[in-house]
Amino acid sequence: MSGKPVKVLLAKKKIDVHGRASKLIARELRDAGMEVVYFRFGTVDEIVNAALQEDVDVIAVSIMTSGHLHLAENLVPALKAKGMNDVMVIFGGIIPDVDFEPLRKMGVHRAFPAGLPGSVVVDYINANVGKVGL
Amino acid sequence: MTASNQSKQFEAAVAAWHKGRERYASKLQAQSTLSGLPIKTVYTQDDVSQDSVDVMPGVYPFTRGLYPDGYVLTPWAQQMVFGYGTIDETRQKMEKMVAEGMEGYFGNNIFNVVYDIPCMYGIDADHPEAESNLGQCGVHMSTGDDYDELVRDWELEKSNFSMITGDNCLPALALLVAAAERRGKGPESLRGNSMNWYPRTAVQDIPSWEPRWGYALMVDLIKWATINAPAWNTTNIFMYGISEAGGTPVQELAYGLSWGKSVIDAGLAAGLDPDQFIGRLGFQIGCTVNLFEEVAKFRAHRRMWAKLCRDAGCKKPSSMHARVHCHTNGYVLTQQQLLNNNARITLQALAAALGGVQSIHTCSYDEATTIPTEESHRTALRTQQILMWESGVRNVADPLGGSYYVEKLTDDMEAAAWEIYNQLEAKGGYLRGLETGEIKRAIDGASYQMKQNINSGRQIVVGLNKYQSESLEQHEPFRVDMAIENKAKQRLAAYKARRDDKAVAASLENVARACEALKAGTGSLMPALIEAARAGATNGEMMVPMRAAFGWYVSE
Amino acid sequence: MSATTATTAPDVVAQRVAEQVLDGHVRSATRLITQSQDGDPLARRVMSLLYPHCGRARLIGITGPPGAGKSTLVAGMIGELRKRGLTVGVIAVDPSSPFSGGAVLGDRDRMTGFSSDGEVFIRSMASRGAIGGLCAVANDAVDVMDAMGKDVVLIETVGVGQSEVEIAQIANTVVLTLVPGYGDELQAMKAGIMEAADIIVVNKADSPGANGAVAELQNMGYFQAVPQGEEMWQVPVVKMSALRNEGFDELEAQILRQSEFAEKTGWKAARQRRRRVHQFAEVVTDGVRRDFMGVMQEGGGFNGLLDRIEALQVDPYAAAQGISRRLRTLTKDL
Repeated sequence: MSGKPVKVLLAKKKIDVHGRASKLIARELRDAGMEVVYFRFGTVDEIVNAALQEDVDVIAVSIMTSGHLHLAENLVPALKAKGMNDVMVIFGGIIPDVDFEPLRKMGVHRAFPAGLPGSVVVDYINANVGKVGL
Repeated sequence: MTASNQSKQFEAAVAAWHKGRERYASKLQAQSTLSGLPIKTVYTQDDVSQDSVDVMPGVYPFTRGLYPDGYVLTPWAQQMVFGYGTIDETRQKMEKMVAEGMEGYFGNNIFNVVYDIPCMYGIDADHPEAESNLGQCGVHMSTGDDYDELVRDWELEKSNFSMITGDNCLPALALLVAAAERRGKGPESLRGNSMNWYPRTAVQDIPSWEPRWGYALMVDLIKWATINAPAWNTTNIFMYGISEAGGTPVQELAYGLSWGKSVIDAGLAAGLDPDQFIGRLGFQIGCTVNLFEEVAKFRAHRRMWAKLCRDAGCKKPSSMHARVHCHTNGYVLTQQQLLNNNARITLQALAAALGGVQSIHTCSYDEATTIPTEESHRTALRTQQILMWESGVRNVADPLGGSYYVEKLTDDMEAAAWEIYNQLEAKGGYLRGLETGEIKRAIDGASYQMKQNINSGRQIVVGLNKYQSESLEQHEPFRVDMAIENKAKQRLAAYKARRDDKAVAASLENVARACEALKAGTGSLMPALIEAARAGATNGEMMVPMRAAFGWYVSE
Repeated sequence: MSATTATTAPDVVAQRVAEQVLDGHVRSATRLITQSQDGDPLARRVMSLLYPHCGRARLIGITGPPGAGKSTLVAGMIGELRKRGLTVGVIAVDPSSPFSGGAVLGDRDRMTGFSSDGEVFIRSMASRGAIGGLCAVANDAVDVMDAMGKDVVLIETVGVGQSEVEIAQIANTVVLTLVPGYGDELQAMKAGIMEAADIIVVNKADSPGANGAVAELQNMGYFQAVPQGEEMWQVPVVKMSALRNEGFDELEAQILRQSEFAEKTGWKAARQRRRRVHQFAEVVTDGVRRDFMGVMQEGGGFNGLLDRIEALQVDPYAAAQGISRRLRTLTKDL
């Protein structure tokens, strides 16, 4: 990695017991030189507020207990409303692949299935960060 | 054949074996179990200690199983987890599962009902953070109406209600007790299981009670049930959570037993008689695809727990029984090539049955990607039923007992687990490890190591890092209708409209006082919660004074 | 933003950003902190404009070893400050990995309860490993929050010596957080960390050995020398449990006492001067270092001096002496 480190807000539902995958991806992104703000959220507004205050390049939402479509539907407009049009939004976790396209249509740049090496996510971020918008 | 002849014959066989592998033996790669224990290519009588073999099923230390004839008298309980939507949807599912032949012991009903996340966390349908989580990954059950519908018409003495709650464990039991009362039944008629698993916060990333109060609440439920609902299983020692968080099978054993020990200690400190409460503690244990390691784990676990219980002062053999519910590990399932998961689940359930567990939940093949569909959930049940009725696996108690390898691995896993266990005990035990974050760090480290092994291909996962395919699965998942959200809110509003608000408020003030009494060590909380449930307080409402009293702790 | 900067004069842009920060605009402020961290020249222009508006906020440093419960302590302090109607800025610094340069910033996650409070601005930062760099960046971040109008700025750092000392160069009050049972690690941190502390908190006071740890620290009797008068500041040891919300009154009282003492003895003013002098030195050395490294990366830098060093024709010490001599002359002439 050369240049400025990419800063990522890794958001995970506060009330979801499944933390393994989100902690793993946080470590894997760190291993790739990224700065990862680990954040357990309650509401969409909390994600938006954290992303705003932290000035992140990427919002990565880890989903383990569904609700991803509803979340994306609310998150993307809320980010736009705060003027965060240049942030990358990605989802990962337990998400059926038939929902990848609907998520994309809602403005989520990419959804990743669980279990892949972190490098897949890293490569995507590095190739696209700063080039995509909401 | 005399002993010396036998030994000569064996020596000759060993010599011939060495000769047969001379050319390539040095080239064989070192092997190890998932827990990192070294394994050889062949095991013999030399690997087995006589102590380990000189035991029978149903006899202390129960390595070979809790019952003399294994599953012959009654098979394991098919304890499938389910629950979604409001109680209406889940009630339909309960009836359907009974019709599908899902049975507990001796043909009794068994309902392993999982709550949705808002309930577990302790918020009602009208709370902002409940949005998009209502009825999604469990049933939303919050009011007296909901619990009435849960228990309606079932014969309580022949129905086992296992309530997969979160921090709402005590309020949920109180609501169930109140619902039984409305049917004219006292708490002694209740059969089932409270999770009472506060110690899981050592490995799970959730806000929960401040540790000392978490334990105080756990003991309060145990004390209440020991006296008032003696047939109720008070506590679930959730080893599954340890392996799902990334712990190896040996870590799962070590930390699980340490957890159990901390519950025993807390109960004894509260003045309970070991034979009265220890027998009502149970285990929920994971099971990966590593067949032999898992069988050895279940066997070692029974033996280790029996020893701990005897040391704690148990006299009755049944108090020393490690009663185990196996939940096949979800983390081994892949989102890639979904149907492959059926093979994994079959192996997992086989390992559990060979390991002699008391009940099994089999995951559904599509759980790697979604909430199970009706079809995949039925297939998971059928997987157990095929094992039960077609495979012959339940004809013989502990069929792998006496296997050189399995006996040796049982011994090795026990030794490795005691080592971790003793280290933690020396530093103050499980509760201390929870507070310092030591347990979580150890398990996160193992999880990271496993992920690195999978990333690098050292650990093979078919379809993920070997034999991949490019195409997407296009599996249409089960969807919980978002209209459920409104339905749950409407049910709540309707319930609240019918209550005596003054009585509810007074009962909640009483709960707040009882919380303080529990903290001061001068009183119990359960009776106040039952009073509140009778008065019409909801799950989320009871949690408000509890949160105020017991803190809200985010682990390190 | 980049489109605007291309067509607008930098001073105009800087002016606009500064105005937005002074208005309390979070997005501009946090962007500015990022730009300062990334060494963006625009950030320096804006910082110059903000500088006259700084010096109003109370700056409290919270430091200590990993696992001491600093974030929980900070969360508790935010709660107490908010109860009094004060606005709060938090700068939470976590170490960067020396291997990858990345970092997991986990402090914000433990500061729960303020996610929707607009008067609490939490900004996580990675230390990025550069010696002295943390101080430069934290200085700017503190100034940004100060200029925004935050009444109190809390600076949380984790470390084993160096960062404590650096943060002490910025904060008005340094709270060192320890937990019972960290004796060995404390030894490893050597004296620097203790010298940096104005107040010592023994957190997790419910743990075994807490009273012993408090007594031990009290017996050692740490003092801070102040510029005027005979009186020394005796570092108080506060026993608390941030998790159980116990001990915050005592901590607050000690912070107030220290701050009155610092005011009375001229200690505060001396520290503030020292901070700016230190900052100045940091900025200059950082600039020189950057310039020097820039030249190093050019082929045949310093009129071929590097080539001659590479060819073993000149030894590095002699070569360095020449450079130092010229720098010294230059500095004297300033």
